Amino acid sequence: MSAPSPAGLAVRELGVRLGSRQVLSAVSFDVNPGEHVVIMGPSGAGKSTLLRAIAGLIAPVAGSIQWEGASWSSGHDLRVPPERRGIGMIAQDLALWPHLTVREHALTTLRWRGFALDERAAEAERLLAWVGLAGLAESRPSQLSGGEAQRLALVRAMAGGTRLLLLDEPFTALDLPLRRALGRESAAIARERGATVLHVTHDPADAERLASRVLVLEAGHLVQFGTVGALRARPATEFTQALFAGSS
Amino acid sequence: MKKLALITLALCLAVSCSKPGGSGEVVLYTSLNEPTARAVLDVFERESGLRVRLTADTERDKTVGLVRTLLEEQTHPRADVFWNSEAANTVRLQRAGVLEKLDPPPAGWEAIPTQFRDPDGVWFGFAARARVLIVNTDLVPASDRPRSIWDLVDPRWKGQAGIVRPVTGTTLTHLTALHETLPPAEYERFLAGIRANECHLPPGNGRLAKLVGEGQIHFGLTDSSDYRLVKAEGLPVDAIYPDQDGLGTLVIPNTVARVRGGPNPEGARKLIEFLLSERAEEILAFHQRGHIPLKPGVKRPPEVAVPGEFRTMKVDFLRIGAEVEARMRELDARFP
Amino acid sequence: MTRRAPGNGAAEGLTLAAALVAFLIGPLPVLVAAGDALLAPGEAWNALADPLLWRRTLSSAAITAAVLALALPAGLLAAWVLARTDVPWPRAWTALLALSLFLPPLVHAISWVSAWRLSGFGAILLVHGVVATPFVALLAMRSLASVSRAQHDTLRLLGGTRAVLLGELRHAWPGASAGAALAAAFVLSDFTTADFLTSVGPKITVAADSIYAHHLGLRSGAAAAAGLPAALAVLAGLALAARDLLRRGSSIRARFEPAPRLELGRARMPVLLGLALLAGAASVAPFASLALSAGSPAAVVRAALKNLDSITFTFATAAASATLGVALATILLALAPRLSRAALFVLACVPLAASPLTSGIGLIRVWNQPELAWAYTGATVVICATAGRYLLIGALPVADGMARIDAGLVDAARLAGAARLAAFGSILEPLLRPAILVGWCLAFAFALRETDAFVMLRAGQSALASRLYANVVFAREDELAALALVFALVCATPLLVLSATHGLRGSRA
Repeated sequence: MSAPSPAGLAVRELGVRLGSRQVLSAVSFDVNPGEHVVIMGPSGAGKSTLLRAIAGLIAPVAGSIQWEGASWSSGHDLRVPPERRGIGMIAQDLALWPHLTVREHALTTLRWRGFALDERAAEAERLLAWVGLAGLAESRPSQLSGGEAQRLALVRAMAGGTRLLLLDEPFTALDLPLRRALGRESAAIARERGATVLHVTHDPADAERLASRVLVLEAGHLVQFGTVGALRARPATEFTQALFAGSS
Repeated sequence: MKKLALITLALCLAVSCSKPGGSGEVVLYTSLNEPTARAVLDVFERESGLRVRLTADTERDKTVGLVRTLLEEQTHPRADVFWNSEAANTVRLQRAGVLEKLDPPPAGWEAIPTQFRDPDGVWFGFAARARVLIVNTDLVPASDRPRSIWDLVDPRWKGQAGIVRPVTGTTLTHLTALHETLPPAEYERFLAGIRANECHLPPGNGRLAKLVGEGQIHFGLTDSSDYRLVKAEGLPVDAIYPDQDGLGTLVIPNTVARVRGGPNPEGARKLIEFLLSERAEEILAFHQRGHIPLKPGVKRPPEVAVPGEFRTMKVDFLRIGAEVEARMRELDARFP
Repeated sequence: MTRRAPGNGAAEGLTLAAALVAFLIGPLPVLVAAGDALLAPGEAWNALADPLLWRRTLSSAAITAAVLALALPAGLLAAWVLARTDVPWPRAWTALLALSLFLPPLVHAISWVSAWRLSGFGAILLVHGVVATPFVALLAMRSLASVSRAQHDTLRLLGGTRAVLLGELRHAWPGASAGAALAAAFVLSDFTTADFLTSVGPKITVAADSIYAHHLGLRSGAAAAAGLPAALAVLAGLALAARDLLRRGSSIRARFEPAPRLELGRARMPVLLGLALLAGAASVAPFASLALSAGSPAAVVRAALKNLDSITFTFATAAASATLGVALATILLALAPRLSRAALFVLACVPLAASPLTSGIGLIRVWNQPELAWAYTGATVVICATAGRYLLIGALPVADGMARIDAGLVDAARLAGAARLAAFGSILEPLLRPAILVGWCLAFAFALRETDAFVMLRAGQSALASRLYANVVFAREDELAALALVFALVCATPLLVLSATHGLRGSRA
């Protein structure tokens, strides 16, 4: 594990309980600014919980989270609420707001992100044009195709200059070519904007193509964190070994 | 949604602000129903210039609501006058210190027969009701009419007679009066007889009168006012003043008293004096319910009989008031 | 990059204020009055040890159980037919069923008695059953709105239409059990219906008669204690129902696919006949009977004009009460943390479970203060009394709506920069709006027909329902019928608005 990085994300001894179950135990790692870290692990390993804890949507029971040198949480104490962390997140089911149109998604997010009234419309148009949704501005989420909905989720996650993007298996409902294309697109957009990405996926190909480093969680513990090459060369567990066994 | 909320809040404010108040108002709590009370109060308002703010009983709670309200409000009284349609609960409130003596006594008080007023001058009776037997004339031939409350427990009428379940109102007062008047064994025989004779037990005197009128019950014990309402509907009923050759018929007056510490004591006196006037008794006598005037010489319709024209039962309402709570407990358990 | 979001402190402040107001208008008066039991422990113990109380409690329990045995299957089946099949005119049937809730049970009883001269245990069951079935049906329908196409398809593949029916009825259970618990609360606290319907023949008394007898005897400690068994039973039922209701899957999300409606085919006629029978018994028959007793339309108009002041008062106070109650419920359910939400739910149950006379005494003790004279003698106390008593009625549909909203939608808003209050205003409230509207209409209906909370409040005597009761007691059936029809028309207004706009079907996804 590298030394604490004041410019990126630093997670120290993080512990999370959900009800009576200890979901994460003493998880520590650092992520450098602009890195694309892929998080992998068997189902129930605590991957989504890790992202939700970083987002501030659940309160940890131990440890600390720091971003760019500022403390987001320490022990039970949520020092910065989710809305002030400047995080973008795309969840598996996207969580688009059913009562808002595509344009309203962008405008609402920009309002919350602190954009002045006169800037919002132009910025919203720019964002929608950027992901190719300009023609669907008045549609509601239920009228969008799977790919269009994913792009809308991306607009919402990146609006207002997001610096940390959390992807929680966001493209699993799509067919393989589209999923991979969207994965590449998101990564490119994040890179273009200098955003740091934490990306939960089950697809080793995502790790191969997108990850600067891979973090492996098993039963709530961090078991390995390194480049794909390092993991393949020295897998710490059977899971990691199986994960990259077929690839080269 | 926001519009809806604004409209309802505006309505709420309008309603909240519409309450009247001031010394030109007398607050009256009455266990009488509103239309009957209003017949008298409208005249009072016209003549006195005072406005009467009325809280009438729905009888859903059979006067207990008003009595409890007056007791609970004792620390900050809101009512000026209590007008009760019977006497027992007035005595209960008197005993609890809720009511106060009118000093000097209201004008014309001496004309009220002593049996119907408080010897200490706290409450006064007027416009009474008699406890009568209401009979369905289609079902019971004239030669075969009941003549006594004891007919309720006569096996000849098994399953055909009715009495209100005796835990409230004038029926409770009536049974308390019997408890005070009859030898214990006789009282016991009467209670046991009601059960044994399978008397029907409707929830109120109005309902009982209606059931007799409809022929669902042959006869029953009710108030003269309820008999008159059913008669006015054209139903085949007649009223019998029971026990004319014995105990006599129970007459229960309306009673009125001033609430201790009420906001408008002078207004209270004016209202009480009006209610006790011949004028008020006359209005109530000519009302559909035909209340019985207690003062001599009050004009009344010919069918409204007054004590003297029929034999009345001698009772002490102070004793009834003191005893009514214990009887209610006993009767609730006896008629489960 | 991100602006400081000031809304969280405001959200906490608002939640706290709402919790405080809810406590003041709901449980506080009840607890103040019930405290008499602690001040007179001997009296309270004697009341609890009285075999008569337990005999009557048993009789209440038997009536409630029999009523639920009728209302649960009938309500569930009606809900399924209306929510999940292609039965014609579902909105009209729903409105007819809902209409019956707007008449106090005693008025139902009177309408049945004047038409058929019914009496005895069977009549009590019929009247309470007729009132309880729509409770079950309407809330079960809302539960059925969250059946997804995938669930439906799975059931169909497993066992055809029969499996769909059985599986989806299980889906309807949370709503149905909430409806049953509410209906049970009303059956247990009612003492007028049994009394009225056993005017002739053997008398049936219920647990509420014992409470009432203690109040008559001015023994409030005994009354509070005697009310305890029924109140605990109601609380337990409501708590179980609430737990079921809140453990639901979400159906309010962008990509929810509702299950398709089943074709009735040859079953159409029998189903229509069944619905007609139910709606006839619940609404058409009582109203027709009242219309007949009322005499002429002119009599109804006369009754309306004569009671115009009361109608205005009742409409305005009920609307204000429903708005206050539903606003409190929405704020608390949406903004309070999960644990305190459960506590609030129990608190909302307390006023509903308490005996009306106990509530009345508590209301006087809380509100009859020199500084509060303006509130105590005016409409404010009436608004607060009904809002407090029926907080739960307004809260149930909102809680149901909340349970159906995907939590991720609010999380997404928080991450997009919205403080809790902003997320509530922009995301939760618009999505909850149909549920809020249903809650408002139910709370409005119950505030309109309320008489229990007014028994001891002088301000409440101006309400239309109190006048209705006065006519019941004084056996003025012509006026009563005319007044009841006016009352029904007043009550039906929000129902028609609801039917025309959103419907009670809760089909929003």
